Formats: sequence, structure tokens, C-alpha cells
Amino acid sequence: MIEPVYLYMAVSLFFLCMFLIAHYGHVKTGKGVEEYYIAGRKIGGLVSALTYSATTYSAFMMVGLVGYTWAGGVGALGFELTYLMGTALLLVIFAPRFLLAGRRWGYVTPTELLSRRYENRAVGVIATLLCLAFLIPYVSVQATGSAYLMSTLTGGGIPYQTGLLFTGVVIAVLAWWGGMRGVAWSDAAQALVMVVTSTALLVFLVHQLCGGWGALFTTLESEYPALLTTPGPNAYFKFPKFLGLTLPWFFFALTNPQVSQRLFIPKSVGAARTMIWGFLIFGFIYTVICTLFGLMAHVLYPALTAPDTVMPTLLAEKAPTIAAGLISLGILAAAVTTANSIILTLGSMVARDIYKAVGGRTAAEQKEMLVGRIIILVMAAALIAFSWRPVGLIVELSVLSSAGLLALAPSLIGAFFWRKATASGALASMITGGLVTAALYFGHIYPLGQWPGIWGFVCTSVTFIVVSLGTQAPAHAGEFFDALDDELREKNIIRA
Amino acid sequence: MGAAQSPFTKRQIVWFSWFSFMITCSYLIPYTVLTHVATMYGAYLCWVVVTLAVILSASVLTVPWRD
Repeated sequence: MIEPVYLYMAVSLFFLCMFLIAHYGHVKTGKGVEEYYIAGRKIGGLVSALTYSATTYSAFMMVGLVGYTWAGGVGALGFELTYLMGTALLLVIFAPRFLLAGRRWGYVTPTELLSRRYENRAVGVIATLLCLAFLIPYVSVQATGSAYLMSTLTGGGIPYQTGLLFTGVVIAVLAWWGGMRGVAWSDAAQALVMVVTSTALLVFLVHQLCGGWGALFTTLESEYPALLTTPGPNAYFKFPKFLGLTLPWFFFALTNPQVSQRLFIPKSVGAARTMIWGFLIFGFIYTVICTLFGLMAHVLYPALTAPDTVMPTLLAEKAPTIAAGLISLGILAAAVTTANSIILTLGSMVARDIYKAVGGRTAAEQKEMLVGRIIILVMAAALIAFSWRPVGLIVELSVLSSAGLLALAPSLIGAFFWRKATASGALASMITGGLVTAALYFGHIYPLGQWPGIWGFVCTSVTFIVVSLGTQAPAHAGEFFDALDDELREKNIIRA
Repeated sequence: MGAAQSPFTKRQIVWFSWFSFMITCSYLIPYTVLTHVATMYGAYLCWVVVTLAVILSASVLTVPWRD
């Protein structure tokens, strides 16, 4: 248990440091939309890797994934590592394409890429609305996880709603003030805090409470063998559930705009390569750490009832006060870095792909940025309102978001790999996929035992192909492909 | 000319097939041959090894990229 005043002080000091980093980023940010939203495409490889990692890995990892492993065993590791493998594949294919296309045609948001590639502003508008609808639950669970944690660690001394307000304000201020450069730099610092604190605490607790790694593994194998098998205890990770969870996350790197926008920011192809390597190494280490926490927690607390409370309980009851404080800073950092990146990206998308594209094409960049900043504040208020009464399991709310955003996948893949892909196909597939996924999810309908994301993906893909085949391809699609292929060959990314 | 040609090179197809094979393994092996292997050397190690192989493959594939 931590005294509320100490946690307030630690958290305030930590985020003051982060704000100073974000402020430095603000000072270094030049004028214009590209500077504010994508740091002028000048971020180095290491910072790109760390901000990509911190944005991807949220409070879900140390709260949700730990709880999932505690409840379902190694299937949780498989679920998360399958995501990482999918991301490796997607980054190798799409990172250079986003980077080079962004530089050549000046794209700032992934939805702008869609609307200009398909030569139809409605594509960008619909894609942005889809992201807004499905990312609100995801961004809200970041604040929910942080507020849960602060409340549990202090034995209710910091009420849930107070923690929520605190987190919401920090998220908004970092995004609003720092822009992409401030967010990227503070993300990088927080990513290091996340991985260092979690590694140190895991090693400490395993040796203090479990008698070392060998003893932990022996206990798991002898007393909780179901944790080490699939589908896990009480068939927790049956294959349809495993598939239903992993498929939406498999495409996360492509369909979640807060991470795909980061593919525009590396300063060169070499920096993009460093970003990919750094992210994959970070992701592997952090995933293994989180799942080991879950397995250890099951040995220590086999009878808890709510998976999301496993990590906070472990910190409150087993970790030394200072260690608990440090690790909770790491978890808060994970939540904040994901949430501030999401609301910054959504701000840029609404400003650019709705406000500018539809209503204010002649608007000055300053006005576009003002709209984006207002959206950042509105999103922060929305996440607080959405999370005021905590709902659902953190993991499953996160998966709903990714499942809904799968509706973007065919349009994005088609944009780079199918000359005949059309704006009508993109529009129809996004609308159909989004509606089908939401209807099945909220109706708790699992046709043939498969999860909503699977059916949403099937519907969105079929719709995209069928409608595209029946409609006219954009007039300049060929020019897009030829110019991009030339750039890819020049950088030795594809060979002639 | 563009419509008849494959948009992918042979090298890209080989790499894509390799990644697909590894990812398919990560779905199939833990849910078939390792279902009842209740040790850390079962599904846990399988996922770790396959992921490391994919990370290594991604690294090798990106080495030739140049500025």
C-alpha cells in the first residue's frame, strides 16, 4: 500500500519531467502542419523506435495482458507474440511505402493517404469517422487502467475518478503542447522507464517470492500445468477465441492510425529500418516480461476473481513501496504514451481529413492546427466521460477497437498493391466492415462460433473486392504505383 | 503491360511465403502437437522461438535498404 500523498508526489514529479521534455519538443517545433503533426519527417531511428513502441504498448500490457496470462496461461503469450510477428511482416512491407509515399506526396495522416490515393475526399472522411468511433474505447481503457492502478495502490486513497481526471489532463497537455516532436521525445523517455522498471521488478519478485526462475518454472509445471498448455485453464483460450483475438491485432500496425502515422516520421529509410529493429526487440522483451508477471502472479494469487486487478494487487501487497511506485510510473507511462499519441493523431485526422478536406480547403495552416488542438481537448474530455464508470474487461475493449478498425485493412492494402482498387470499394468496405463488427459485438453474436472481428474482416474484404471490380479505378492510380516503385527500387527495397 | 504482370518479384514472394509459414506455425503447433505438453519447453518456448525467427528474418530482409 502506498500513501496517496507519496503517489501524488511521485506521479506529479514524473509527469513534470515528461512535460519539460514535451516543452523542449514544442520549442524545437517549427511552423506548419507537418512540423506539428509529424515532426517535419525528421525523427531519428532510435526515437522513432521508442515512440512507436510506447504508442503500441499501452497499460493493456502490464494490466490487461498480465491478467490475461494469470487467467489463461501461455495462450496470452501466443496472442501477443502473434501480433508481434504480424507487425514484423507489415512493417517490412508497409513502413518504407508509407515513408516514401508520404515524402513524395506530402501525406500527414494515413487517412489523407487513402483519400488522395483513391482520389475521393469521402474516403478520408469515412476512415476518420471510423477511427473516432473505434478508438474512443481504446483510448479510454488507458485512462481506466491508470485510474484503477492509482486507486488500488493507495487502497482507495486516490479515488478512481480522481485518478481518471489526473490522467486525462496529463494526456491532453502532453499532446496539445508538445505536438509530435514533444510526444515522440517524451514517449522515448517513458518507453525506457516502462521496460527498465518492469524488468527490475520482475527479477526482484521472482527471486524474493518464488525462489528464483527454476523454482518458479518447477512450481508452474507441477502445480499449475494447465497454465502452460493450450487452450489453458478451463479452456480459456479455445482456438476460435485465440483466432478472434489475434486477427484484429495482427493488422494493428496498419489499421491503427496512431501507429501508422508514425511511419511518416523517420528522417530516412535507414531510420525506418532502425525503427523496425528497435520496435521488434522492445516488443519481444516487454511481452515476455508481462507474461512472466502473469504466470508468477498465478502462483502467488491463484484465487483472485478479476484478471484486471492482478497486477495492482501484486504491486500493492508484494512489492516494496518504492518498487511499486516505480513500476506504477512505468504503467502510467505506458497508458499516457498510447493515449496522447491517439488523441494527437485523431486531432490531425479531423483537422486535415474532415475540416480542411470538406469545409476549409483554403484555410490557413494555423487554422487547421487550431481545429486539431480543439479536437485534442474534446477527445480528452470524451475519454474521461467514457471511462467515468468503468466498463468491461480491458483486453476485450481493446480488441473491440482493433476488430472495428480492421475495416480499414483492405483499403490500405489495396492502396499499395491493387491498381484496380476503387474509392467506391474502399467506402463500401469500410462502412460494411465497421457496421458488421459493431453489430455482432454489441449483439454478442458469434456465427459458427467465430468472433465478430473475423466476420467483420471477411465482410469488409469481400465487399472491397466485389465493389472495386464493378467500379472505375482512380484516374491516376497508375502514376502512384509507377512513381512509388521507382522510389522503392532506388532505395533497394524492391529489386528490378 | 501492367495488368498482366504480377505486382510482386520472385524474391518478395519467397519472403512472404516464409513469413506466412512461420506465422501459420505459431497458430498450428501450439494447438496441435503441443496441446498437452505442460512444461515451459512446450507452447511457451515454441512461440518464443518462432517469434525470434520472424524478428531475425525481418532484420535480414531490411539490411539491404539504403538512403
